[in-house]
Amino acid sequence: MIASSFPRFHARTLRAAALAAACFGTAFAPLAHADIAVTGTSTPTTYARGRINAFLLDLHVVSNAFGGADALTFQLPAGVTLSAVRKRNTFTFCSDIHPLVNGMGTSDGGWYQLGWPALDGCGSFAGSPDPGEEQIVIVDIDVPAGYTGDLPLTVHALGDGNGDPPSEADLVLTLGDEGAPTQPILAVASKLALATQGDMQSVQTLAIGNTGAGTLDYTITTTLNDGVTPPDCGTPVIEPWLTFAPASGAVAAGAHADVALTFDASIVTAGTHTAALCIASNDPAEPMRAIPLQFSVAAVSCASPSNIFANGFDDDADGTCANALRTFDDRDAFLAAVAPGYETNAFTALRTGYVHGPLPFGNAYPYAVTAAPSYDIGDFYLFDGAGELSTVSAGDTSALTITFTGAPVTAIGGNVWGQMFQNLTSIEMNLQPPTAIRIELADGTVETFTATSQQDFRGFVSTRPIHALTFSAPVADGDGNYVWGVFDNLVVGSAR
Amino acid sequence: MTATRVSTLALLALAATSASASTTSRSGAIAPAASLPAGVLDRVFASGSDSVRGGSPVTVYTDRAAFLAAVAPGYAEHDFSEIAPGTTQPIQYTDGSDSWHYVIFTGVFATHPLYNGDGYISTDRVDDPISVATSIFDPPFTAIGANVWPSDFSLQPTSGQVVLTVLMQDGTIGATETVDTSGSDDFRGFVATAPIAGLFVDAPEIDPPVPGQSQDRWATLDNLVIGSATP
Repeated sequence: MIASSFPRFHARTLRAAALAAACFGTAFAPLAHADIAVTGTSTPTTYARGRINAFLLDLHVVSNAFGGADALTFQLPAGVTLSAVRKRNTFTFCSDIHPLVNGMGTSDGGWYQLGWPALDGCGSFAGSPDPGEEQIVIVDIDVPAGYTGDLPLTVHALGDGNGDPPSEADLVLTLGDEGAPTQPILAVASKLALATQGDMQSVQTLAIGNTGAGTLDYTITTTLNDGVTPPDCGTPVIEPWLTFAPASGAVAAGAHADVALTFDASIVTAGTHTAALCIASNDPAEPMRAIPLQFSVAAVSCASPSNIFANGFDDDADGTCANALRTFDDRDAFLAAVAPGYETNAFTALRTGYVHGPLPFGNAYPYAVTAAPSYDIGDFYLFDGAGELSTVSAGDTSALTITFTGAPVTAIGGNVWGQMFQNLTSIEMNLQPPTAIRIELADGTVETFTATSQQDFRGFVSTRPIHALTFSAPVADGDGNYVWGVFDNLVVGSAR
Repeated sequence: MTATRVSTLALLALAATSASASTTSRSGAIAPAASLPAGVLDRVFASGSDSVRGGSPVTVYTDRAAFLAAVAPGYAEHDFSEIAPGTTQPIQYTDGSDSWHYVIFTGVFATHPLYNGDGYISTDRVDDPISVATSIFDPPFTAIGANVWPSDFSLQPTSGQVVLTVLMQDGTIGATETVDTSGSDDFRGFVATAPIAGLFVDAPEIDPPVPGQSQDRWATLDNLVIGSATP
């Protein structure tokens, strides 16, 4: 990351010099009589292509006249868009005045004091935090897959008018390109669950993809999985109820290979059986991947007259007496399992404040989102610039539920994490602490994991329609504080 | 918009609050409907028999053509085709034959922005009104009208009510209209004989709520006309 700072008044003449200086990693000092300048850094300093990247910008306004900034806006190259803007700390706004977050979903927008440009509101972006104190704005930037090279993020501060003009300043943060992968990357479901009835065999397909470069070579074995200790892939164990083919292969970059997994319920007792697939590959980041398998066998025969509901599902449209659910913790692997025509929603630039549900979304795959608990004033509280749905408060009964209302949905995934929009015991806002996330599907399947950032992903691909799923963060931290369980960048569609 | 104008608007809003508090009903003789000119909804104010705190009479129109026939040439008209979707600051216009200056915003005491659709006006927060207001320092207008309707969370037109309040510059409520509507075709126009301070548009939530549906409604406005009454 490279930083430069200079008053806009001199921008035309000094921009080239500033950028040249920036190339050497130096900051450009504010001019002596300038009313306002802005300095800052970004964490991280690089971006990933084809992703919504979050950056923590530590920004400081420098003003000889002790001025602040009434507007803080961001400019990005064409095609790169702002997905969300959130404040972290050390900003002064009147308690009853909310900033205006404008331009979300575009390449030019940001955070304005309400009333701007009349400057008749109150509060501002503070100019002088204590030495060493962070003053952070979090921006989510949606970078298309086709964008390459340096990404200049211009932070524009509009001063509050104290001191001599000019009252504007720019800071250009140059974000580096992480580049395309140079090694094979294994993309595969993180777990697979099959529910079936007795006396039958079920064949399920497991896609092994390569989202990196070069050829991915893989070999599959199986081992034990007790659901508690991590599977020991160094000790292969053959489960008679599970066979697969091919046991090894090669996958070109951007492609996938299908492995047929055959589950035989006719040779096991009713109940739940577990194992793990071990995939050894030349993915340097993860040369051995263990995939937990859960095989649930009902006592009822598939030929039973009551089989429609005996299998634990509301319908039996596919006539297979079985349902397979693949869970993904990687967006690329999930998308490889989704048929074309899926819809995405970043929930950017929504209306804000207290809102009653259900809130409708989607076109080809419509769905409604509800929030619990419900209050007279509203079920949701949508924060300015957050770019995500949220309940009124956090707690063990707070949850967001997606219910599909139209075409059958067999694939859904999104980023899921814990967001502390507000913190009653700290000035810090919009933290993303490690959070126990719980996702429950309408069929009773429960996925739990600890999310550590908004990049955490969960996706589900099913052979039967997924009717609804609920997201929550029902566990308090050690101090008794709860965090909002949220989702974003939702993908809804059909299994490939 | 200057700080002076905002202060004026604040005073006007205070006046409106006071006037509203003193108004409990709109009782009074209503002329037979058969005698109403086409598009005229409410003869209560047109007759001047039900003015509030001595305020000026206001004629309410439900038909745009009839309303425009009662407005002098040179009126300002906005279809907001230049408005992009999303949140915006207050929108200021200075136009029309008398260079009327007016601001479209969510209200003097509202602390949230507008939230517009593609070519129409709405609000970010569900409880905020749309306010179209001028100040006593600006050229006065005596006619104002617009299409109004309730929109849902996704800015789609939906069923419900819209409540319009006309505030006169003398601090009285010139007219209050409740429109039952489900689309963007409903129009209300107001023509007065005294200066109008502003038009405030609210969309109350559905009561009682319909199970499975959100009761929230957002005020939405388009095709605004501001001008002077025909002499």
